[in-house]
Amino acid sequence: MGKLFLNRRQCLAAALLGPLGATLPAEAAGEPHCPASVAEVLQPFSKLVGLKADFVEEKRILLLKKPLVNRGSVVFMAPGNLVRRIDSPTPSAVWIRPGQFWVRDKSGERKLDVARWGPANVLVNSFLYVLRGDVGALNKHYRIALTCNAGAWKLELMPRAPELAKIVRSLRITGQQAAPETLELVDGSGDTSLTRFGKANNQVRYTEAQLKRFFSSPAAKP
Amino acid sequence: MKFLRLASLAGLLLIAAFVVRSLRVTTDLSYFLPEGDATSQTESEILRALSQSELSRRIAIAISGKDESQVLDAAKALKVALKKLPLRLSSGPDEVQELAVKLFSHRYQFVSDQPEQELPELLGRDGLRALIENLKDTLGSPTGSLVREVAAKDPLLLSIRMLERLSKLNATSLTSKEGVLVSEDGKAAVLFAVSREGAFEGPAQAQLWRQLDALFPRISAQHGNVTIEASALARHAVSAERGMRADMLRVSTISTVAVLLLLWIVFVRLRYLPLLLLPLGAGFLVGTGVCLAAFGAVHAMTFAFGSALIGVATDYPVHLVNHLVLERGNATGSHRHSYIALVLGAFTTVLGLLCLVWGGLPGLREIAVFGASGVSAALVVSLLWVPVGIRPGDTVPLRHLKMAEISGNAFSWLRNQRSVCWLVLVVACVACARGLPQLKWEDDPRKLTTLDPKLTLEDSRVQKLVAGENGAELVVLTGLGSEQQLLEANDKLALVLDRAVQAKVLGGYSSLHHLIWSEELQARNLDWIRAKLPEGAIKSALEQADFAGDAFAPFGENGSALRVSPLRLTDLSGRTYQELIAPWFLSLAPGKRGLLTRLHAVKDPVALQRALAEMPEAHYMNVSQYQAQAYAGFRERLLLLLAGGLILVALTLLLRYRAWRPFICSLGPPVLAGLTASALLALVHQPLSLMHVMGLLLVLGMGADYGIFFVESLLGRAAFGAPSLSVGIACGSTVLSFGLLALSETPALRAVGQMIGLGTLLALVFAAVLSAWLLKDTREQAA
Repeated sequence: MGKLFLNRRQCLAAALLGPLGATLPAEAAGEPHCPASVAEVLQPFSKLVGLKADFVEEKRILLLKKPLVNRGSVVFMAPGNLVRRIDSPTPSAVWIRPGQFWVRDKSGERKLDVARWGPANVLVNSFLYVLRGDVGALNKHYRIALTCNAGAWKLELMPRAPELAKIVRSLRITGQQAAPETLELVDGSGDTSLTRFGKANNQVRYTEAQLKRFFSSPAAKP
Repeated sequence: MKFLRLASLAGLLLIAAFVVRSLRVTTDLSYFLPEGDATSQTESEILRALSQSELSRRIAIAISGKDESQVLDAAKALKVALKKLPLRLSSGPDEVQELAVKLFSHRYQFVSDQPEQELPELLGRDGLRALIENLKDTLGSPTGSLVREVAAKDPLLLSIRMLERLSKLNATSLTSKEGVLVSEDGKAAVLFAVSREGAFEGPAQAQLWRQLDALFPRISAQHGNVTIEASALARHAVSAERGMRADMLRVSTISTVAVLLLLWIVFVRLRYLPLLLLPLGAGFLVGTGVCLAAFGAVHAMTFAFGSALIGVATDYPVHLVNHLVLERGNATGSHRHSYIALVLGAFTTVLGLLCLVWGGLPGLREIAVFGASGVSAALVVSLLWVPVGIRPGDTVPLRHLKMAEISGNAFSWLRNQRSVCWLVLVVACVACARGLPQLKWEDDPRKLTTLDPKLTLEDSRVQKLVAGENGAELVVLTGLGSEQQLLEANDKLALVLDRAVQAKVLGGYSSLHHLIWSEELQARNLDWIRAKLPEGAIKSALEQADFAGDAFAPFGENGSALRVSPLRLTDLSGRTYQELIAPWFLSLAPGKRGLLTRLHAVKDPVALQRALAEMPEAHYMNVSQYQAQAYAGFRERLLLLLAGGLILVALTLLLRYRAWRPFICSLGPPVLAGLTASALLALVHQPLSLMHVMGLLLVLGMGADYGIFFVESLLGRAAFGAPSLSVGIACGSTVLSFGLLALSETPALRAVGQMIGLGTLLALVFAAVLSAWLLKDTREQAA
């Protein structure tokens, strides 16, 4: 309640970065192949049931001289559950469920009211559109540009609505063939967050109880 | 005599006109609240203020359905419809948000409750370092973007401390969606409203709830049969009032019919009925008129007792008609003694009733005034008008004669059966010996009314959803002149309560202090920061933690953040004040305000009381416990009054008889009856309440009449038939009217019915037994 007056427009950005890179299945080795369309890039997402991936996030905040580096992992369960956990330097976690956004940090666990602020809600849903491979819904909120060079592709998402543009200037996903490598978010204030993904396991299946444990307990392993 | 009759008629007509013009019936809760002595006066004022306060007028409405869109649609439609009713819809989080925005510019004034003690450590070199590290951690955390925007202006995140304090005011898990508060699972929406009228403004609330009860099903039907439920104190009050009205109608109808039937059976002649009923009407009218003149309104409960007066006020005309018809008023001694019996009986009844005037409870005082004036008027009208309707040549109907003969014979038989007299007295003594030690008191005033179990369940469902607080335990600050003085005391109180929370004496508390501080405390914070915290110290700490110091402006442009005036209540918008501030203030009396703090989970009330001892202006109250204590104290006081009333009646009777036998025969029956009735109720495990004690007072006043009638008839050498029959009818009509109250669903009325019904019946038995046993027949002496 107390934090309602603050701008929560970027609060989901970090969560948004997490799973994208891990969702694309590894493609068979061979000639470098450039996807012909955004739909082709996102097509493998629609088949996801569950995944886990480690990540390293580099946050460049204009107020800070040096970047902040977070290490952690993301766990996803279709159709709409995602836990993004930071294990170091300061443990914390977010859990995105359909219409809900839970946060755990040093001050405890709480639910944030994302629905109260429309653009933040769009951001949460955008993330789910990506995981579902829902190109139509993504197109509704973003202009998407696809570039590719020798199999290395880049998706650049630019918000269509001015309200959304206030909280996110751009979103870039890069990958080599079918494996995403980085996600970069530039938020409304110009701060950037670059996430590099490690090897992903996209064959895992979780229960909600396991996700909850992973979210609530810093020691829990999914 | 003719002049007196005309004067009485004119007086009654005038009173009737006054009653018609000024009649106002209330169901105000304060009717049951004790006024108390000087020490408890404040607590009583607080209770009265709470009963009128916005907290008591609050209505929570829950709309439950199968999914969020359904409940949101229904809630929005309901909101539109509610705006047409005499309610104010609360928009909840919007006001908190407005206040939060306002508070940001005052962040340096709301840092610490004890700035001189805490700020040196909090904002010293190590403290600043810790605060800056906290900023860094927060920026890197999932909620980092939440503070990113304010960090440049507020690197110490002081505004977050304010917001965390603010969040203590609202522990609910509801979240706002499209202007409506929605539950976590999205299947329920909640609207809050405040009724324009007080929760205990019977007619206005009844009208409002009729409209709401019609509106809810309509909205439900229009939105896929969503469930709409509500929780409000006023709803229980309306329901209790409905129940009480229904009770009153049922009891008074049955008792009136039963008493009329009894009178017709005995007197046969229908033309006597107006003679018998005229004093009742006069008593009721005068009682109502006097109450209106004295109190400005008559409580529904007083009318309930007023209708029961029917049984008492019939005693006088019944006695007169029996005397004039059966004894023809021939025997001078009998005639004189009959009138003496009436006046003495009424006098002792009025004495008993008037004791209630000094009881310190507005409700009892009203009933006492109603009863005493009504009984007096009934006596006067009986004496003036009943003889007018008795024709000297009237023959006595056979049934009337026969009943008098049976009554007389029964009394004569009793006079010859000493063993029966002994047996009755021994049984009474045994009952008293066994029952009185088991006697238990129930002093919780909530037990005087019945809550509708369906509404109670609905209430708890809604309260569970909104995480409502019962607000039973609170601290109220009083005795301070201005709002600022109250806020200063509130700051001090918060420190005391914080210490109590740390000492685990208290679970927590909700206070206006979580929202706003006094100007004095705000100024102390700002003064310390201005004097002891240079902006350079903050920037230096930021640089040391790898922040770009130049990107920050903690004190604003040219230190503008330190040049703000304290936040005043008048700085808030009218709506924010009304929504967030006003509910904490109580209007105790004209020009006298109180400030409320609600306590949660008081674990050690004694320790809390001790902690609050340093603040004489702070009154810790457990509302229900206080009410029970007040009622217990009041009951004890009433018992003392009963003893006082008994002494007055005893003195009156002693003055009249100057001999122990008639004295015992007139005073013994009500005393024995009261004790035995209490003992019998205790034996059937019925706890006694204040209302039983009130009934006891009436038993004392009315029961003495029976002994007096027997004594006077024996002294006047009357035949036993007329007085025995009169006492029998008097008792019968009292039991039929008061006794029927024992069938009431309202516990307060039921208690009165139990005590008076049982007590008067026993008073008749003891009056007959004692008179038959102790008094010699003066006719025998004369022979």
